[in-house]
Amino acid sequence: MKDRRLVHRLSRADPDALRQIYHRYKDDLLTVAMALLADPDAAEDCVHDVFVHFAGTPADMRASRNLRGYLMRCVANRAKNLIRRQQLQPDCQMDEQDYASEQDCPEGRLIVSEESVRIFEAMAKLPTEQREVVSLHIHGRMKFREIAEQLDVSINTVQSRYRYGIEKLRTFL
Amino acid sequence: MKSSKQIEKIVGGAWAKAGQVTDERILTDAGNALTNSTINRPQALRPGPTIWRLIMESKITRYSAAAVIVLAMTLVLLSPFGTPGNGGVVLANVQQNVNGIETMIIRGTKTCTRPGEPDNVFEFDGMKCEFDLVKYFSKQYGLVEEGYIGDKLFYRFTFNRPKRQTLLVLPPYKKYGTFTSTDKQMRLLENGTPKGIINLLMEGDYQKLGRDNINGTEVEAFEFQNPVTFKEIVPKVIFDVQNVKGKVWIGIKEQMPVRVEGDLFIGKSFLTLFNDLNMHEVNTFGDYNIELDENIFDTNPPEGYTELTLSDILQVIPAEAKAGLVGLGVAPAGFVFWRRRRKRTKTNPS
Repeated sequence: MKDRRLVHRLSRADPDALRQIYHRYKDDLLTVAMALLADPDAAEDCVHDVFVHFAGTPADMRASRNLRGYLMRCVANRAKNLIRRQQLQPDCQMDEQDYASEQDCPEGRLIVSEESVRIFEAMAKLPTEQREVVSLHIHGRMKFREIAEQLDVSINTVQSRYRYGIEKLRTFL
Repeated sequence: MKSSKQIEKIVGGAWAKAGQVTDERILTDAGNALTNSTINRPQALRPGPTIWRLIMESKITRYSAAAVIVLAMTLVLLSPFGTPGNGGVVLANVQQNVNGIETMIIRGTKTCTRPGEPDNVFEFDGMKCEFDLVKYFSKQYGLVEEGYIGDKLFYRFTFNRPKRQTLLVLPPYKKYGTFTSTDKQMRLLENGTPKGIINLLMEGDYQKLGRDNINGTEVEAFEFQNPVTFKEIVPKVIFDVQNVKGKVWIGIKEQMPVRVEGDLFIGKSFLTLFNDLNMHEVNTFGDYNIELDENIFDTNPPEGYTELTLSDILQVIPAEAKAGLVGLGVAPAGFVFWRRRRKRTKTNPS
């Protein structure tokens, strides 16, 4: 079913539509949240808050033209707010108890592969602006133009942040 | 050191997935938020009320809906497209039935009178235009209309559908005429058949005249006026149909036409020899799906007949009609007056 139809159904308070939207985008959103926050609990809270807000505010349904982009922007904003308000610093070294590996606990909370943990840790070393651009472009599959509009900066700024971010990751990975 | 592309690929390989606990937590809370949001939503965005609830909320919509329902019920019960369960005629069914007719023979009369003088039958070449009609209709081959005065055949129109050709035979004069037929002319000819009548009835306004009994058959009568089919089939100068009125009696049990009467008022035109005429035609139907020989619809001129020419027509039509022909440009003025002069000279040498 198309996003637009799902959003329409959601606006009529259809819980099944909410469930379908969640299952369609949850992993991508969690990946972006993890890349930005490098904290499984915070990432889960971030996506949780976004979905609770999304379900509770039908006025925002007009964003249905690009539901994916809308949700990505929500997650990025929420993550930035979390970082700003709680002075949350991404963990450069995540505790093993923070997440469950795929093999260990498939029914657990957040599941992250070991290789992914290494990558998220490397991304946590980037400045927030660069991390945001890299994550939204690679994990969120957003175009530079969309990111520029979202961040209210020029596309050149976005591209340079991305370039610097990738350059730094070359040294970490 | 890895290239930028490789780094992008490595970063793109990172993922995080929600486990069951996370799913349950987020979905439960989001579901609750969804439920709570509906309570505080603007009315328009609230889920729940069905279309009926919305309709019943306002007097205007309530009464409008009631009116629509009553109208729909009326249409269903009274319209010809309704079910035949109420014992009436359903024109849609009749149309379907007549469309299924392969062949039929129709009998009737055709009378041409002067307008306002129903007893003053129009005369042509000394003969009263009061015909007994026999029509042979075949869905496959076409239509034949024979007009008799007394026992003598006065004219026969043969319309051959596959050939799209029409033959007019005038036995008293041993003359014939042929012409190619268009689709519109074909429809005009078919109007005399039950199929055509029902089409005429359904294509315009009609009025129910109530029930009747014709020779023991329970029928329902309909009246129609000025159907579209008659308009612009032929130029007005040739055949000026100014008013058409028809009545059809349809068997209730049979759901088939039993009888039809048509009144055509035709203005001064070529085919009425420039007279105003009333044409009254009565057809009765009965012989359906009987075997008709293909040769009946033959459009080859009979042996011993010669083709109808302008000279033949000019000999039998009155002077005013000739003037009309000149006016139409059908006949040159010199030709008409030369012939008149020659005739007068012949009959009156002085």
